[in-house]
This record gives sequence, structure tokens and C-alpha cells, in this order.
Amino acid sequence: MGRLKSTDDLKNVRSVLSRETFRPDKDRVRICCGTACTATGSRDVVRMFEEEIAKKGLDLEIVKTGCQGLCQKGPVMKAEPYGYFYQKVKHDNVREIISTTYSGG
Amino acid sequence: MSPEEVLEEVKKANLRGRGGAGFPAGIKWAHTKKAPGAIRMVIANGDEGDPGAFIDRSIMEGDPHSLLEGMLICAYAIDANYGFIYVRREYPLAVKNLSIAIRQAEKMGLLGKNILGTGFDFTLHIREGAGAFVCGEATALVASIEGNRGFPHARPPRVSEPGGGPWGYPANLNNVETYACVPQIIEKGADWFLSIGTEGSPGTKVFALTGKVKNTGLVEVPMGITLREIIFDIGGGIINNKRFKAVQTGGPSGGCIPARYLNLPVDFDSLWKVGSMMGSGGMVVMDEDNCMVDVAKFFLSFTQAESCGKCPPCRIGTYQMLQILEKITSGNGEEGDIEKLERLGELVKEGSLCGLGQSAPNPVLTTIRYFRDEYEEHVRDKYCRAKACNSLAIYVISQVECIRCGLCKQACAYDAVIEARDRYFIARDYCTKCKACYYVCPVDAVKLLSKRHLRLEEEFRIPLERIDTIERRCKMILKDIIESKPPVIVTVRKDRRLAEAVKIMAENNVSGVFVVDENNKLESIFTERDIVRCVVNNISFENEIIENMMRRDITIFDPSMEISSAITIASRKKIRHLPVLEGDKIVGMITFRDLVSYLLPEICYMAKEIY
Repeated sequence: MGRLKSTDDLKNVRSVLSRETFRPDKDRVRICCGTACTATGSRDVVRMFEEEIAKKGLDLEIVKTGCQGLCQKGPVMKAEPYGYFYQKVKHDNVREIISTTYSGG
Repeated sequence: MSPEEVLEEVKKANLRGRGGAGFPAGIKWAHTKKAPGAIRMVIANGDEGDPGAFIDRSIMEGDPHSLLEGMLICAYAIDANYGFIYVRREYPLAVKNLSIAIRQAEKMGLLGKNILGTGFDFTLHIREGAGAFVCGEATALVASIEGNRGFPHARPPRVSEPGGGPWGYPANLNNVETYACVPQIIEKGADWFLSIGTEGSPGTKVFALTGKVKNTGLVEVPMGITLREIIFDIGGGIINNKRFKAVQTGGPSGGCIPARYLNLPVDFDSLWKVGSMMGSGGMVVMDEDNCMVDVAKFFLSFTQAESCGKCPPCRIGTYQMLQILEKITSGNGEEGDIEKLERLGELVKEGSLCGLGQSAPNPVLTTIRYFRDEYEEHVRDKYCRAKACNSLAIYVISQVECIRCGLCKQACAYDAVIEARDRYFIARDYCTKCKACYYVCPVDAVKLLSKRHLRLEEEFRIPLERIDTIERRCKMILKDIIESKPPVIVTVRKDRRLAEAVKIMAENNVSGVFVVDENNKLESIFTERDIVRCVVNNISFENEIIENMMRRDITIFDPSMEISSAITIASRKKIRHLPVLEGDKIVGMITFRDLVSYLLPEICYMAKEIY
């Protein structure tokens, strides 16, 4: 994105972003990539999700978020639009999460 | 929105500084705006020094743009062109993410010269601190930004006044969390913000919940939520279902809040009232295994080590307080130490230059205020009920519970556990009280006892579980006896004949009555012994009135008197009837028989054990 020259530019960007990002009808996982969750292996989870999505061709969006708060139970992630909250996610669990939550399971 | 409108909106939202003291941000902004001079600064305080708190860190690492946006809005409102984010170097990821965020914003044209073509300039720099706790204090932080040693200076001038900020320019300093609240207020309006939380403290607050709770981590809650909800609903209760004892809010500058304030709404003012403070939002939950003296010592040793050393009350005062605490926890406490701690604490609070010293005694003072009995136990009995202060107990192996596995003998590095033919015992001369045997015992047969309990057990053979009951009885007061009896108060007017008094005594089946005047005020008591005296002196019961025969020198007892002292007084003065009065109100009469019936079970019990 280029440098914004005026307030109208900002408004444009804003409306584009609000239209395109975080659409409510889209499937999405929000994986915590805060310090604690990164340390407990959320990078592996993200990588595994990316691989699985590429392999199965799913329409699933991955959002790497900041700290979600419950660091003790990390890595944590949210599955939208269902509102499920997963804790202590390991990269072995990813396949299971996708099959039970997103691919008709 | 014009800068004035932004300022009004923040003022209206009553956003209070999330750094701890809760000073309204709007008023601070307006104060900085009024300062003369063309150059103003905006500073974000990200020096989060409290052990266990990482609220600002999560914002700076996870959502740095919200901080940048808040600072931009503030700069716009007060017409400032330069900004600093003060981060401690121990947060390398925060520094990294913030620099990325600043670079992104500059590339987009949201920071720098002529932002969005409006002609407004704002440049932002990161300043890394060396991780000193005192640099969270405003004036010390300014000194640190300038590149000097983190020393606070006397106020005024405040940071928001000329001469107070970095290089003498006025600056607005707020906590990272405060700035992160601002974009939401501007976007959704002050009324939306006021609808959350309490009247005096609107909005939400993030707490770092740690300690002995099941779920630890960051929790964002509306202000005014009770401690119980945070600890038991969100935190899931205490680990291993132990008993909750206290919660330390505000880190080393805050205080311990005991269980009786669990329903306290958490906001700036109510925490202040119970002697604690919000602080940056740390919350350490403690259960019955935490010794409050030890906790106070831990927090004080932190502030003592972090004291910058500029002013003597803080430098010397906290050191002396720590020495006294050290003395108490190592078993050398003396009578008067607690009072000395209290006096020193007040002096340090009054005399210190900056917020660090002014709040450093808080953990000690609040634990003394709410857990004084625990301090007294450490000093007098040399005993720590939480069994946290190692050297304050005598280590004994309970022969009843011991399964003779021998693990304690292996664990002991000093050969203090001695194996006899059929049992293990601890030789007290060799025992260094390292607690190794206590931790290793699979059936908890190693007991930590106080000297007094041990004597009671060894000399009188009173089992430990009975000692509690006996001690409770020792602490009983006259009020307990009166409450255990049917509430009968028999009175007689002093202008009546003696015969009437005798009749009343017979009717009510009592051995003594209260003699009162016409206003029902106690004059004296009239007892069986007075009757005997009248008979011997040949006084007519039909003709003489009570006033002439009643005694003038009666001893009056207060309901709060301990039973043991009442017994001593009664036997010394040779009296059998103890009138108990609360002020002018007659509460009841205790006879010697009541005292005996209180003592009897104990005597029987002890006699049975001894003989």
C-alpha cells in the first residue's frame, strides 16, 4: 500500500478494509501468536494449518492474532464463525480440528 | 473533530490512567495543552516493572498500532509533534514489533511530517530502558529518556509543566494501556465508554491473574467486577481446592486484600480504601500455604533492591524494614518489632520523594493490618502456620502416621533423621530445618510444630488436634459465657425492702440480683452472702431497705474480658458474682459456677491424660 496523501485516502482504505477483511460469512481460525503461545509452539500449528488447507483446498482463513490472554493454556485458537475455543493445540491436533469443525464433520 | 472536541470527549469519558494512580487522562491532557511553549511531547510509559504483570507487553507485542493510534490522537488533541515510547529492554519482541508498526505507519503516511496532508506533524521514537522499576515513575522516566540515570526529582515542576518533561519541554505521559483505550473512545463515543464499568472508574481493565488459581493469564474485565468473580469464576478457583487467603493487587506497590473483602468491587477508589491500589494490574492470588510475612518480605525485598537511592527514607527505611522482616521470619523476632515496622512504614510513606518509596511499605502495612495475628505468631510463638518460614518450627515425625519407608533418612543431608529399631525420629541438634524430609515424606508424617505445641504434647500428652480446641477456649471472653446461658437479668429497685429482694431471688432461682435506681441504672448487686451478713447482724428483712445494706464497692466486668483474667480477678477479690456491663447497659451476671463449668471439661480431660 502506498503513502496516503489525504484524509479521503484514509477513508477509502478504511471502507475497503472493512469490506474485505473479517467478513462474517467466512470460515476463519484465529491462532494466538503472542509470546507465550509462540513459545509453546503456535508457529507449528499455523504451519500445519497452512499445509492442510493447501492439501485439501479448503476456503479457510488463518489469522495470527496477538495475545488472547489465557497464556497458561497455550497455544490457544478460536474457530469462527462457530466461536469454538481450543486450548493447548498441538500440530497433531490440526487435522482433527479441521475434520470435525470445518469439513462437514 | 477539532483538537478541543477530542479533548472534551476524553474528559467526558473520564478515562483514568491505567498505570495505577488512576489520574483522569483528560485533565492531564488539558494541563499539558495549557503549558506555554511551542514544543510539546507525548510519552507512553511501557516500563512495566511489576513482577508477574505483562499487560502493556501484550499490547505492545500483539497490537502495537492501537498504542500508536492512541498516542496520535493525544498528540493531535494537545498539539504535540514529538512522541516517545519508553519500553524496557527486557521486552525485545515488543521493541521489534513496535519498530515494525512505526515503520508501517510512516510508510502509510500516518506518522511523520504532514500526516494525510493535514499539515500536522508527529514523529515517534522508541526509547529503550534498562529495566529499572523506578523508571516507571514519571520524573525518573523522563530522566531516563534524556539519557541520564533514572533518578526521580521533586515535583513541581510536573512532567506536564515547562521544565518537567524531557529537556525541559512539557510532555504528556500516560500508560500504554491508557493510550490503547483512546481510539475506542473516539470511535464509539464517550457515552459508550461510560456505559461500561462503574461511575467513578469507567471502562475495562486488563489484569494479569497469577498465583494459586487454576486459570492464570490476562483477563479483561469491566471495572467494578468483584474480586470473587475474577478469582473464582474466571480464575476457576484455587488450585487443589485449598482455602483462599488473600490477593495481592498492584504488585509490589499494592497491598494484600483478605478474604473478607472478596465481594469488593474492583475499581480505583475501592481498592484505595482498603489500603491497596490498582497498580498496573497484577493480581497474585494466595492460599493458606502462603505465609503473609514471607509475602511481605518478598515484595519489600523487590522494592528495596529497586530503590534508586536518591532519598534516605526510601533507601534506608526500606532496608531497615526488610531487616526486621528478615529477623521475624528467621525466628528472632522481638516484642515491639511489629509496631516498629508500622512506624517505619508510615515514615517511609510520608517522607519518600517518588511513588516507589511512597508505596513500597504498602504490602507490609496491609499484611500487618489484616493478618496481624500471623505476625504475632511469628514473633511470640516462633511459629509459621503456613509452614513457609522453614526455621520457625520444630520438625517431628508422627509415629502414628509414619510408614517407616526411610525416605526421610535418605533425604536428610545432615544425618538428622535417626533410625532406631522400630522407628525413625529427628535429632533436633542436627536438624538444620531444611524441609527436605517434609517434602519427601509420602504420607505427610513429618510435622512442623511450634515449640509451645510440642511442649503441650510431650509433657501433657495432649494430641495436636485437641490443642486447637483448647486454644480457642483460652481466647474465649465473658461475652461467650453470657451468650451460652439463657438471657436472664434479674433486677430490684434500691428503695425496696430486703424481703422483696429475697423473694425475687427465690422466685427466679438465682443467687444474686442487680440493684438499680429509678432510672434502671446499676447501683450495686445483692447476693446470698449479703443475706448471710444481714442474718448475723440481726437486721429486719421486713423493715430495712436494700439501699442501706447493699455494698458500695462492686467490681464491674466488661464483656470483652478474657475468661482467664476474670477468674484471676474474681479469686483475688474473693467475689462470686461478676456483673457484666457494656457501658451503662447490664448484659448479665456470671457466677463462679459458670466459670467452673467452663473449666471443668478441660480439667477432666487433662486429668485423665496425666494420671
